[in-house]
Parts: sequence; C-alpha cells; structure tokens
Amino acid sequence: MATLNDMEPASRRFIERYPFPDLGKPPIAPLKTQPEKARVALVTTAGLHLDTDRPFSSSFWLSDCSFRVIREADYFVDPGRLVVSHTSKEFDRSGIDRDINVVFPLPRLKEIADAGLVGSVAPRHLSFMGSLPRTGDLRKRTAPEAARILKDDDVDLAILTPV
Amino acid sequence: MISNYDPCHVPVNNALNSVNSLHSGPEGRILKMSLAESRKSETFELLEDHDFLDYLSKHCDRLSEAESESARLEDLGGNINRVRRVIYKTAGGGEESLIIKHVPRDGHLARYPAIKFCDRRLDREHNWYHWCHQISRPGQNVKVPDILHYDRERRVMVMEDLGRGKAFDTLLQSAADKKTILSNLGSFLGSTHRASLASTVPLQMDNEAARQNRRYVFTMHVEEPETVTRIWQDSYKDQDRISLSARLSMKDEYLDKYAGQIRPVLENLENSFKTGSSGQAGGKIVYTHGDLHTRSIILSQEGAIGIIDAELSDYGNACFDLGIFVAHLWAHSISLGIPQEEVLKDTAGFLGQYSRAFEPGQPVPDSGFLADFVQHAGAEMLRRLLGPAGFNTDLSREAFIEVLITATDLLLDGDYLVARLLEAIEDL
Repeated sequence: MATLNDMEPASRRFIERYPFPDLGKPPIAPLKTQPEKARVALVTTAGLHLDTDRPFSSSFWLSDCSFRVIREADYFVDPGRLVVSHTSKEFDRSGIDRDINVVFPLPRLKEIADAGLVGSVAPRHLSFMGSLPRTGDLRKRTAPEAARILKDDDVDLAILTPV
Repeated sequence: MISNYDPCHVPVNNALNSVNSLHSGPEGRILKMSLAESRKSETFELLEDHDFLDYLSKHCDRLSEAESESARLEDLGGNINRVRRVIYKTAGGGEESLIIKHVPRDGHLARYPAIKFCDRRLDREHNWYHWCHQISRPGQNVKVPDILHYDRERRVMVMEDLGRGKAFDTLLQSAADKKTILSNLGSFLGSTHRASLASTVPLQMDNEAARQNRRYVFTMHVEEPETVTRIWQDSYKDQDRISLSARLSMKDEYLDKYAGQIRPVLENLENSFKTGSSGQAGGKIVYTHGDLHTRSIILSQEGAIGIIDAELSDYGNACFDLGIFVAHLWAHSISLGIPQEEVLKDTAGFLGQYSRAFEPGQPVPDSGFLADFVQHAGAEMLRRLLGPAGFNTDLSREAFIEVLITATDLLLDGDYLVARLLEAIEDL
C-alpha cells in the first residue's frame, strides 16, 4: 500500500493539511440471512465504468461524487468494455491491467456463487470515483441513491473495494 | 502623524446627517465650508499629484507653503478611489504624513469607464469613522483614522495616516502576534457590532455603494456579465502562481458542475443581508464595516491595529464582516502552507473573542450563527476565486484549488465545520 511519502508533493500536501470531516463509525447492518442464501453486489471506488458511460470528471478538485452502474450481464458479454477513469495520480493501474479482480472481483464472485458459497450475484454493481476531496454530495445525495438501487435489487451483502 | 484638528464643534448626530460641504475633525468636530467654493464640485476631479497638493493648500489648509514644497506623494489608489499619502517636513524639522482620498465623479473605474459605482461612498466611510470614534473605549487596541477634513461636495477626505503597517502574511507566521491580533480584532468587532444594536444614532439604513457591491460579493461571478469579465487580470504576479487563463478555465469548469447548487445559497445570503439569516438564529443586524479584507487592516510594528476603507459600511448581517475577514485569513493561511486544523483554531480564537464582546455571558456562539458565518466566509472566498477581485496574497494552483474546495464545503456542507468550530471555541 502507498504511504504519504509515495505521493507527489501537491497531493500529499493537500491530504496532510485538509480538515476532512469526521464521519464517525459507519452504520454497518448485521447480515439478516445465511451467506449461502445472500444476494451479493460489488461497490468499488476504482472509477470503473463501461466504455459507453460518461467518464468520471478528470478534475480531482471538482469532487465527482456520481457513480456508474455496471450490469453483470454487460460485463460478462464483453469484459473489455470496462474502463478506468480514476483521477488520482497515485493510483497504480498496472494491477488492474493484469487482473480486474483486484478492484472489481465479479468473476470471482460469480465463481463462489456457482459453488454455492453465496446465494446469488446481484444484477447491478456500482462504481464510484475514489479520489474525492469533498464528500458532501456523496453523503447527502449519491450514496443514498446507490443504497436505494441495492435495496431495489434485494441485495443482502455489499462487498466494498476501496481504491 | 497629524494631531492638529479643526477647531469647530458640532454634535456627531449632525455629522451623520450632514448635508453639503462639511469639513470635520475627530469626535464630531466639524467645520462648515464656504458654499461658494463648491460651485464647480460637479466637475471637480483630483487627478495628478499636484492637484492633491493644490487642494490641500487651497481648500483644506493642512499644509503651509513650505510644507507643501517639501512634500512627496505615494499613490495608494485602488480601482475606484484616488488616494495619496502625503509626506512632508514640518517647521520643526520632523516628518509627518497624512492620507488624502478622492472619489472620482460617478465613481467610474479609471481603466473601465463602462463600470460605474456610487460616488457617495466617502460619506459612509466618514460616518463609520465618526461612529467608531464615538463608541471607542479607553485602552482599545484597534483604531480608525481621525478625520482631518471632509469635503462632501468634492468627494475628498483627509485623514490621519495610520502608517504603512506590516504585511498580513508576516503576522500569520508569528503564533503570538497572530493570537493577539485575532483576539483584539474579534473583540473590537464584537463591541462595535454590539454598540450598534443599542445605538440611538440614526444609522442610515442603506448604502447604495454597498448595495451595488453586494452583487459582486455574492452572485455576480455565477453569471458574470461581459463588462465584468473584461476587468479580470493576472492578480497573482509571481510566476509560480496560478495563471489568469488557468483561473478562467477552472471557473468555467467549476460553474458547470456547481452553479445550480451554489446559486440558491448565494442568493439567499444576498437577499438576507438586511434581515439577517433567514434560518434559525443567524447573524443579527448591526452596523458593518462592509469590506473587512486584509488590506483594510493595518498592523503596526508595535502591534496596534488600524481599520480603514469603510466606504461600504452599512447596516446588515453581522456575519458579513466576520465571514469576509475569515475568508481572507484562510486564504492567506493556505497560501503560507498553514494546516487548516490550525486555521480552524485561529478562527475559533477570533470568533470566541467576538462572541464574548458581542454578547457578554455567551462566550460560545450558537450553531445557527456559526452556520450563517461559514456560508458568508465561503461566499467571500468564492467571489475572490471566481470574480475579478482576487485575494491579497499570491496563490499557487494547489492553494487556489484548496481554497476553492474549502469555499465549496463552507457553502454547501458547512455542518461539519460548524461542529468543529463549536468544539474549538469551547476548548479555548
């Protein structure tokens, strides 16, 4: 994992100096069903999206709090359509280039669902931009929207892959 | 410094309601000027150094012929006003100085005649100084200039020179000086605002110059007309600093994303200036300085604070003064690389003193007031970034971005900063 010392000076300076909000402990809900019956979705902050989607903003300072929906069906028809528009200069993409599972383990999830270790794979998965200096819009608008999508799909368990 | 005032006296209330052609000294001393001398006032302009010296000897009687001959002038003028520091040798061989300020007819910008501002702005500066002198307390660490002469007709004021002062950036690099100055300034503003709540002086309810200016503070930059865009210039001279083209490009990109969210907040602030915050327990209506950025504050080598340039003083939301000052405090601090946690503590020190002076017995302002305050600070930051005025300190591209992100947080998501400020003020 990269440390502050690995960051380029301007990004490091910002991270060290900015008074980010203290969001407290996340309200994690207990799993209400057995894992082998649970429907599972992925939520990544790797800035992934399909090549037909609008890319995330390339300006870090604008704090693009939007998210993209990645349908399971779209991914498996053509995994090559998944692209990355994460803005962070510190984001080493070489791992993703070799294996998408490091940030978006949909193939692995399908494998464990097929093996009966989890109940099913959700039809929709979500991708955010992980480099956000401002999170207000995320907290107030887009994160609740994302939660609604997962709820509509009867998702029991979300696996977060922070980048 | 000048200490030789005009001898005539009239009550200060008359000064605040003054009509044509008044010369005045501090603490309500006013000398009526001959009306015959005002006939050409409509076309009267002071343009060159010799005009200022000529005026001082003919109309103001401040300088003797010998003093006038020895005088040298420094141009301190801004976009609108023509201001000179006049330094001269006295008969005793010493050196003294004064400030002479003149507002051009129709208040037009010298380089951009299409843009005009109210030219009665000097009346308000005169009134605010008088007001401050009237309520000043012994031992007060903040002062405003004594008025040596005021010519309303010709839009000329001659004032005590509070000195060159030291740069605000220098102050921020000394923790002890910073704490003292912020504390004294908070205390001064709190007591001044408080005094205006109980004032029987007929404070005038509307300053046209300030009303015009509030559009620039709050909303103008969101839909800036072409006449204003043309006056943008490279305000940050250092080559390492953000360029004009980068600022303009970031402005467009920023407004594409945020205009819809920030416009209603800014409009609410602009509309509520005369009524206070529209929500909860926001800022009360007080007599504001109206333009309390860091060039309106003179810090002497001895630690005294002077406040000048009160042309935009008006009766309005207390958070306006506080927000403007703190926006500049943050921008200077960010430019110097001071961590924002430290800036939050500095802000808490300033606001804590303000609160104690404004409402003795209530050392911690309530959250509604702080919420109003942080939005005002955000609005001033934003207009300095997205409008032509700029800050009084150089900003690198990174610092510009940091201030921009901070401004947006203050305007749209200030709740967490309010909580932190409350905590920091309670810990003082």
